[in-house]
Amino acid sequence: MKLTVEQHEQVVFYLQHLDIDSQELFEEFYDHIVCSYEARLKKEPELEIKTHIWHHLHIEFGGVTGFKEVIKKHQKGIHWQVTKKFLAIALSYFKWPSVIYTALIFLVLLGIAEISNTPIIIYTFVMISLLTPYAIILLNQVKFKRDIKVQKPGYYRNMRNSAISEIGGFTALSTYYLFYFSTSMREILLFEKYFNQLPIIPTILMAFSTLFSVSLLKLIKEDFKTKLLTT
Amino acid sequence: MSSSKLLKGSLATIVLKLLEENEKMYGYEITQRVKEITAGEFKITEGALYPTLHKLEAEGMLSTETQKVDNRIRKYYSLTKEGNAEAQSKVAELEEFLLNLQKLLNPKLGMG
Repeated sequence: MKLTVEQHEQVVFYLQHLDIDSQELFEEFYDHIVCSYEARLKKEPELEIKTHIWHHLHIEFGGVTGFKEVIKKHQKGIHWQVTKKFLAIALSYFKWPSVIYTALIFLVLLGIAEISNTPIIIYTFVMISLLTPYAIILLNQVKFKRDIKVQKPGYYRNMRNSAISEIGGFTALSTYYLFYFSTSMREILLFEKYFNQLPIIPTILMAFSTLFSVSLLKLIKEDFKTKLLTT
Repeated sequence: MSSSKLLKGSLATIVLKLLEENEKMYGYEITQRVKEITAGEFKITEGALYPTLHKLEAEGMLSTETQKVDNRIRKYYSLTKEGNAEAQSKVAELEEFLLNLQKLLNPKLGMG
């Protein structure tokens, strides 16, 4: 059945009252409420959706406390899933036959480290590779928020997007600390000298940032939602 | 211990078994199927079902897909390869447990 505007608003009000602001739970519970209402209407044709929600469903869901528990567990689960997937993508580059390409990239980076005399090239490379996925995340978040603003579905975020954004935020933060660390180390321990003498150090740094960036970009491509299915 | 507490402990197995028999199911459908099979004796509350579904999904036992139904989004759950193996092992484990429990509670039946 298709709900009337008033019925839809009742469901949205209820879900918002329970602080369900994520797309995943909102859509799932919205469908559950409508399905159970449809079934109960067959027995009680006069039943109002408001009564059904507050007098029946609310108890079955375990009230506000029950819902809070569901939200908490779901959020934890999604974060775990996203982190696990990110690590799985990163590790996949060390499996056959991808490891051949990984080794080739490492050799190219070693060449760059040996040719370049100034650490600034290395820093720029690392920063670009770490900040690119973060920039894409920000752009996608804008697209998603714009879609929400236009369609007004009743929720305001996507948990999976938030979990990916947190990993992206980590890259931005690590870039900042890397820059901070390298500038201080340059003065204290003649870091620049070691940078030039041991090309393996900047190569590992560049390889790590490339791996991080490529894995995150793949995760964004597969899991980041920029558009809504609802109309 | 109430029957609902006993049921909660076996909820993951019940969900895995139902999904093993049906290609894909959504939350409300699972609650209704349990009610239907047990003639209303077992009633899965939503507050227990959804955390179980989400946990199994996070563990990689279930995969999800969404479909548009009557202008709303429906989330379907189905077993992954790992979930399929887990379903078989969990059901076997529960069956063995029930058999042993029966032996303890009713030794005569257990010997037969």
